[in-house]
Amino acid sequence: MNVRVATICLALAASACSRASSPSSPHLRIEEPIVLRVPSGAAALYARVVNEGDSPDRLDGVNSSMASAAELHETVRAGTFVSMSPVPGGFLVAPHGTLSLERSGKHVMLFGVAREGGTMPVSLHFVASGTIDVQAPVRSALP
Amino acid sequence: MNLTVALSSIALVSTSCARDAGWLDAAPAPPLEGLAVRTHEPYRLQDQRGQVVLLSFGYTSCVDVCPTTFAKAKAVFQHLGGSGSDLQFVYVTVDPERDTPEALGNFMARVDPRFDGLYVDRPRLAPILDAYHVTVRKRLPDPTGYRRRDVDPRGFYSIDHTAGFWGIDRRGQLRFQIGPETGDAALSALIQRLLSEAP
Repeated sequence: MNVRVATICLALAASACSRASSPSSPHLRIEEPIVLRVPSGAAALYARVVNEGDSPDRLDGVNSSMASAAELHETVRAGTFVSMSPVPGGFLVAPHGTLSLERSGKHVMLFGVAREGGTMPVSLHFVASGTIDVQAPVRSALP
Repeated sequence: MNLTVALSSIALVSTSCARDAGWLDAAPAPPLEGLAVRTHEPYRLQDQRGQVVLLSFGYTSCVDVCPTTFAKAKAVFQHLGGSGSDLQFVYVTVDPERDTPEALGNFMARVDPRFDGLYVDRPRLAPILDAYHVTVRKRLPDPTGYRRRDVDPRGFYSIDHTAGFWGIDRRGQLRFQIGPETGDAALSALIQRLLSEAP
């Protein structure tokens, strides 16, 4: 009996050690999501993706029932030439790091966003964490 | 002698700064003609003598960069106050297929009623873009991205383009070209210099 208890304790300890020694999952938090839209219906989602975990993750897809199309883009400047390059491979979210989706940088490009005001649902898909749904306020991108 | 050297150095530094700020060797601005969407009347740049013209190129579906361009132009007008009455801001669409005169007019009215939009049809637009060294590249939708099945994605394109500002003085000379990262104060200073010059 004592041997059996000891064996179980050892097994539990080994299990605990195993969990402790492997990297923990990424732990993501989406901060201040906002969709900025121009009258044609084109829009961009900006937000901060904060990873409080010990392992990386990657934003690799996005969709929304209130957009006709969505892509991951990065604005790149070469002198005065500005391009918005799709980034199908997505964006890394480093351990204990922050992915900033921001104007003139990495962002989610949205097409066919019908109106401003209120909020819209956007689903962000991450390789490790799966899908995280956010409700983003929709505002005018115009100054 | 030392004073001469010092003055020469200051002059060189001054010239260098001016170059860095986007100043060009003054030359007549390339011809620019189209339909002014605010007035629905033909617009010819060469008819604007006596005015300072701040030009920019873009399109109304440009969501990430162009709003910043408008914010800077607004800041310039705000900074100038009443002295901005001789300043025009003209936004030339590089997307005449989607930016019809009506669409561009509604858009510009929404951005700022002091701003005007210029519609130029595609055949006449190409030489204008060349003359102003504006590169445009249509970027079709990413096939790996999300698309709702019931919509035609062909309209969801972006246009990479040269951004920033072109400044034309009261005599119709193209004087500067600067990038979109230029700060509000620097842009205002460039414009103020052109406004201070006699026609």
